[in-house]
Amino acid sequence: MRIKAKSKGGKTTVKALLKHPMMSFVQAKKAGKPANFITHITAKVGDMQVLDASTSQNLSKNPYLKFAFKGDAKGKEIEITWVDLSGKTKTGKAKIK
Amino acid sequence: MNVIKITVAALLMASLASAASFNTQAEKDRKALIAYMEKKFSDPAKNKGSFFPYSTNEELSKRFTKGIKRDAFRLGSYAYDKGGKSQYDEVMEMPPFEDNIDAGKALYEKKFANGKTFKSCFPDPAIAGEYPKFDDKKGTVVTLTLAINECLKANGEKPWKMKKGKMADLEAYFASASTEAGKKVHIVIQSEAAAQAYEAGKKAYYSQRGYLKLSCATCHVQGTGKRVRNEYMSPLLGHTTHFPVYRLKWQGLGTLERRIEGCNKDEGEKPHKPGSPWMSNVLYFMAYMSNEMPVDGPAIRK
Repeated sequence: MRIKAKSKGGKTTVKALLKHPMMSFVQAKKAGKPANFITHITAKVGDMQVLDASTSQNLSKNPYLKFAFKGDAKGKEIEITWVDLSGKTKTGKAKIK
Repeated sequence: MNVIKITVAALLMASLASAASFNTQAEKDRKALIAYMEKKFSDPAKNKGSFFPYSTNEELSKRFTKGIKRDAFRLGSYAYDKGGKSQYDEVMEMPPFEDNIDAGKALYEKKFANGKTFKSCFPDPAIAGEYPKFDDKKGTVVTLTLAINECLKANGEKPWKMKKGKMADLEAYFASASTEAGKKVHIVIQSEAAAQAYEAGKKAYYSQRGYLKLSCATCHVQGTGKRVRNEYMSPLLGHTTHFPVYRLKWQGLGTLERRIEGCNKDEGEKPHKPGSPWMSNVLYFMAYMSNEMPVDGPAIRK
């Protein structure tokens, strides 16, 4: 997972590139593999939750995520976690610049 | 005696002149291409009559960037296509090939079975702008892809596939190292044989082929800035500066050889094999046209 986060003018912009095959049901049927895609993404800065997204198979392979939240969070750490259909979960951390 | 002296001097002068001038024709071609492209895109709306007869006035005045100089053409069609450029900038905020560069760096440092690494062949990784080279001993053009495979063979390893995978990853590392070092494309035509390879490449580039009877130049010299469906065609100038490229169509990285094969298919021709003399000569010609332009690979294209 690659994360770039930047605070500027009371607003923090976060960009993240998640690594996941994002196999939809149609693709899975063709490939003969089980379907697997990210179903839930959350982002936290300290104890504050800044993103809570329910996602589905419509996202691309290795999806790119970009969002912003109010408030200056320079120097703090952002933590992004995803959960996929198979129950696997992964967390990435990065310092906000 | 005097006559002999004069003839000897004249011969000497002639040989000196030709030694320095193997690239005279190539230099002429390159300058003509730069002049053509800069003139064409100096003001597309004004040049409608001479260069863009099929485009509408609105399109030419609103969708094109004006007054592009040589170095900007390394962006391909995004140099003049405003819409494409904004999409390109957005993707480049988080380029999808960063993992490939890391993988390439690992390959560069990984030991072969005999204990050596790629460092033994390429001590400096910032060499993307120096290839293709003409090898006087072999009498052929050596592209970066071929040079990597030669290095593998010399160290008793199996050569890699030339279009994607490990090859593209390692080239991506070379390209990013060259970009970071601020290297420029530096192609040399040092001998008569090299000049002939250049001419062969140029001839191939400008000959019509395939059942569509298209040449490379139809689209990438005369056709630059014209549309095929909704995509603007890119210029020959700066084509080789940014490879390997992450193509959205491929969903991955590919080498120059892979891209040219795609072009061959689009022309309705049986693709030339990567590593064949045809392919290497064409790449030699194309790279020379981008001489002195900054290397900025890897990049993203549609």
